[in-house]
Amino acid sequence: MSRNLVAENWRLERSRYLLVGNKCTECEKYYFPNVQICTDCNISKLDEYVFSGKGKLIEWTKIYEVAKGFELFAPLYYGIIELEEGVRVAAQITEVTDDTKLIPGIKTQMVFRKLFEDGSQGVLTYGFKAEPQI
Amino acid sequence: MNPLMDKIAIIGYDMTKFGDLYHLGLGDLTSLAITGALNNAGLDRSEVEALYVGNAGSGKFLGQEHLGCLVATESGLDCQSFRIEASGASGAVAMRIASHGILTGYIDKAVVVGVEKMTSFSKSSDTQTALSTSLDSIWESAMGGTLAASFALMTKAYARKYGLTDEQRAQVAVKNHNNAQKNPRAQFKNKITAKNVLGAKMLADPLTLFEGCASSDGAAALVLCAPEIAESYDSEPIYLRASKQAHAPLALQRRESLSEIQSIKKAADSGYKQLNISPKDISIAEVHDVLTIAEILAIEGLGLVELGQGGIATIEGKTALDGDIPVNTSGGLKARGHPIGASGVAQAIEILEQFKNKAGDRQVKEINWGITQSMGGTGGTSVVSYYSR
Ligand SMILES: [Zn+2]
Repeated sequence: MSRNLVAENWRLERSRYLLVGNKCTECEKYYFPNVQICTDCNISKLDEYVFSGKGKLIEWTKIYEVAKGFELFAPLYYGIIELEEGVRVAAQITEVTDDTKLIPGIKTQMVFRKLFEDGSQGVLTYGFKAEPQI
Repeated sequence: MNPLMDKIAIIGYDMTKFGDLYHLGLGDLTSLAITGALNNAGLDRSEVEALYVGNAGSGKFLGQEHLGCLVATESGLDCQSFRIEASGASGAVAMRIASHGILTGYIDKAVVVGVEKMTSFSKSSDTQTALSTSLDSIWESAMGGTLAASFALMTKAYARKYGLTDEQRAQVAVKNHNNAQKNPRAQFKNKITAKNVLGAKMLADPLTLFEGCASSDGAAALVLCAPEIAESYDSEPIYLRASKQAHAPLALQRRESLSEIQSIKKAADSGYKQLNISPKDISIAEVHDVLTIAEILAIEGLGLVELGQGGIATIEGKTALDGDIPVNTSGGLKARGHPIGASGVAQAIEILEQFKNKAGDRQVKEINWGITQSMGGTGGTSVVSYYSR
């Protein structure tokens, strides 16, 4: 990856580490990742909101041909999670011992893990993964 | 402007072979395709008023940007030039933008070229990384996602909703390889079976390597002009009658549904409405089968088959060369090859060859309307274009 991961990791630290997003003060819509403007209301007045990390599995796959930086984790489970506030995120699914139990609708909890490592820049990137609650 | 009367004439076309073209650089590929298309139209280089280059990733694959200028230089064109990027839809969007230039009267004659040079990477993870840039790089790719993984999620969601067998999916690849055997320019002319497809290395469960596209090099070019002057170049020009583009959120997780690609239907429906035609009027279609599931979602989005019936229609032969609605007679992205930025233009060329009875063994009889569907990434951008005599 040729982008500046140090700057990116700094900018995204609170979203990736603490699940910080925001909530529109007008229509109460939740945003993750956080936004500067609620385009539904055309206002910039949004309150910071920390997501609980509780959610449910929407869909998943097991990736065998991973992108650069993810070789250590291959094959990896990846899916879409709907947080209890209604916002959906994509994430790796961790601690999977039996993937026949990965059924859409099961409860998940976001946990803090190493996401990938960039060999060329020597940068480790951390963030959330989803852990099934079975 | 009258949408029923507005049309663009396509008076010349040509493309290189698609595949591992180690000996040809990006400038060589575009020069070959453009020169071929100009010769086909009988147009001098000096008559070209504008050049539109569709390219998805020369910066990633080659470390080269500023492609408008590069391609103009290498093709011997001294005119204004533009590079258009919309991932897999780059070529199709370039064709639309060129058409807009002609429709407004700003120019009369334009060259569109789509090009990609992808075979420079030797490691699979480098290629997966490059392809992943069509996704949301922070909230999909950096979370571990890949293009194949996103289509795998769509496959599973679709299968849960409508039912879809592995064999139905595999038949998309089998059919497209059958068609490619009859296309001299295709990258893969070998016959494959469902067993080959399903037994190949897994990309992302349940999609295998043989359900996706290999890296490919190639270029495809069109010469477009205003309809008033078309017949001095081509006595029976084929017309681009409409080209529609629609949007869906970039990241899959921000879309309402995983079991359909809403942008395809949005683009298609607005075209049918403008032309006052229906899917029943379509004789042939070239669609963006970047993975097998994508063709199934595309034929449903275009309305060529009912929602949820794409897999069954495919395995029953409805989309085969001799079926009710032949889809990807060229071999599609899967077997003709998918040099990303070139695909949208190559789709148009297949429709032109079919209209002009130049498709050889893959010729379809009695064509009223041809349609092409191209998309970027997982369908964040979709372009649907309509062609007739
Ligand atoms: Zn709001």
